[in-house]
Amino acid sequence: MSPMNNRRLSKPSLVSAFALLACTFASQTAHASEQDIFNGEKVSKKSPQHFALEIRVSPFSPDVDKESSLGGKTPYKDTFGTMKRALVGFEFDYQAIRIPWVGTVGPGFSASYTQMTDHSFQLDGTRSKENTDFTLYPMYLAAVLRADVFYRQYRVPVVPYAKAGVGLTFWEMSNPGGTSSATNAAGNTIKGRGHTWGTQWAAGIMIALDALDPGASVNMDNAVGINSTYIYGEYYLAAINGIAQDHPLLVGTDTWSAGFAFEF
Amino acid sequence: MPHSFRNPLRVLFTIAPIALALVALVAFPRLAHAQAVTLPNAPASIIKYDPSGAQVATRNVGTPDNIRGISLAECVNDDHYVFPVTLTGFTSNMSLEVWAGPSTADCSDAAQRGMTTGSQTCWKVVNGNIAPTQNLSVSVKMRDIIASPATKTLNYVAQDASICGKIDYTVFSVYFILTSGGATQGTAAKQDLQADTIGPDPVTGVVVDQGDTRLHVSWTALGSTTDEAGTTTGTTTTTATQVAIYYEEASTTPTAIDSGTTFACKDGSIEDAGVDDSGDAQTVVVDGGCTAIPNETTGSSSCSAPGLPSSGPDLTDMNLHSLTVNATSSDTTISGLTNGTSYAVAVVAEDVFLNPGKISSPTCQSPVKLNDFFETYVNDGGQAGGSCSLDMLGAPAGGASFAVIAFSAMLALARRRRQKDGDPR
Repeated sequence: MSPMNNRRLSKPSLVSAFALLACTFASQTAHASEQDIFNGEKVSKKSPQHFALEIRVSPFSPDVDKESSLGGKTPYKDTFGTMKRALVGFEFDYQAIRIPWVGTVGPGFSASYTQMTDHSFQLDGTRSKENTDFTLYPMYLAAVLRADVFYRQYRVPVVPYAKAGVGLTFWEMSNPGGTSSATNAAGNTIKGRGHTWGTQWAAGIMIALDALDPGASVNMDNAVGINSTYIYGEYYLAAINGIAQDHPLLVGTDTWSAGFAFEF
Repeated sequence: MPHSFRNPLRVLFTIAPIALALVALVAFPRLAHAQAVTLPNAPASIIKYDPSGAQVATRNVGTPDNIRGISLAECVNDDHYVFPVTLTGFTSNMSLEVWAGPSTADCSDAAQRGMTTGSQTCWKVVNGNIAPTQNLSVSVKMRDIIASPATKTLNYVAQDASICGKIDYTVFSVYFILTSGGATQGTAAKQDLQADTIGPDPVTGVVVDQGDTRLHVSWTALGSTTDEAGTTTGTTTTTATQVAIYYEEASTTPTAIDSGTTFACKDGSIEDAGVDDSGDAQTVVVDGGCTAIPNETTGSSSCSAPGLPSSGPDLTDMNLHSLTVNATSSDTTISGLTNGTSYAVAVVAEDVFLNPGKISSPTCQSPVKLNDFFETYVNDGGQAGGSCSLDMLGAPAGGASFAVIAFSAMLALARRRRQKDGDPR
């Protein structure tokens, strides 16, 4: 089948879960197009690939209430409830090494942001009309392995990957007057801000969107140097529980993340 | 014979201009004495002064003719304009008169000044007639310009403050006219002036909520095209451009009405209600995290403050504080207050002339101690806090800046790597 016929199968509007699943188990038609890309003449036109960028969104609820000194009390749940907030961010990878028949490996850096807002409490325990905020800036530096051998060698547009590294989350609790402050048990006034170290672990799968429109993929590579575009889903454990810290705020979580990824 | 007159053509060219000038003087005497009144560099040269002689700041409300617009405060203060006037071609039997009228009037027409039969549309704004000199500074009171008296006379009638607060976004024209025997001589000078002495619609739906050393004030969002007269003007000039929030320690403490006790729990639920209590005891922990709350209602009708009479804020009250927000805002926060102190808060919309609308009735509220998330966390035994974070860079901009810097650094890395690969991208 000619490349022209292949293009009839793909339209931007087909970017849906159903189409992606269909492409995951690529038809012979899709196979042919990928062969064109990797084995045919177009292979020579592929630009160098050294980097990956992920646009990330995930539901987020920090483990604040798991702090042992709280004695089972749940200040986070009491204030912000159980609804998870959206954590948005990005990850940038340098694919330093390509391992034959495996994939790429290299360092990746991620930075994200989320904020919870609800009403403060009056002394009688009822809610006031004044807001209180909890803002987090989770970041991590991780080793990222993307096993694209299935995609590059066997034309299956699925790329499993794994990440492991060190996480650091900056956090701040505030009210309309700025950063909160409180008097602790020792009688000292402390600010409601800080940072917590921890570890970051993740595993996920990327699904190549190139198979939807190989021609467009080649054009994108020629125009802006993006080799491949993916959607991805991952499960991650952010064990941000304070490495070598005396009184860390537990701001880790285990949850899933999804978004788009680009290799270039 | 002089050498220069030996040539007939030379004689003709020398004498002809003189002869023509003499003919013009005889035939067109008005041209020789063309009277004209001008306002050099107006309106920029027109200055406002208050009764003490201090200069008053001007404002720009749009088109050039409006930059010296008349506001309610200026009318009440009895401010006046000083117009620089230049006269030419006048004679000693003439005088300078200053008249005002609606923008549709032509006060240089003697009929519209009531000098002949017909409807008089203009009114005199300077008492008596001014002896002409080449350069004059003419003082005109703003109240007189916007007077628009129902019964117009040939004479000047001084206006008092009762004229203020009645003019809604109207253009008046001030005429400087050389006259002789009441008849207009030459060309008059005219200056249009915008007047608006009525503020925007009153602010409604004012609610004041308690904060911790703060009060949160909200109100119904203002309309954008309806002016104070209730008509749609299609211009933003008469609509509210800002909202002023005035507050002052309340002069009367709201009356507590002891009407029973409710039991409110930490999760916000109400366990019991309607149980009479005998006194005004403070909240007492009962059980299960619930507290007994005397069900007291504060009497809003007794709220008042010296600087917040119903007629408007008393700006001479040194204890009266204010802040302003954009007219598109519908809430703001007053910070730096004392918990437990009752404050009276009133809100008023102001237009571009800074004319206030009707001020809202004062609402009394007291800031109270609250527990935000961090205080709740610490009260529950949490021990974290106090170390550095991105907010020290100015949250949330600090975090965003950090992320952008990191992302930019990595993009730069990517670009360098591509250049190293020989890819120009």
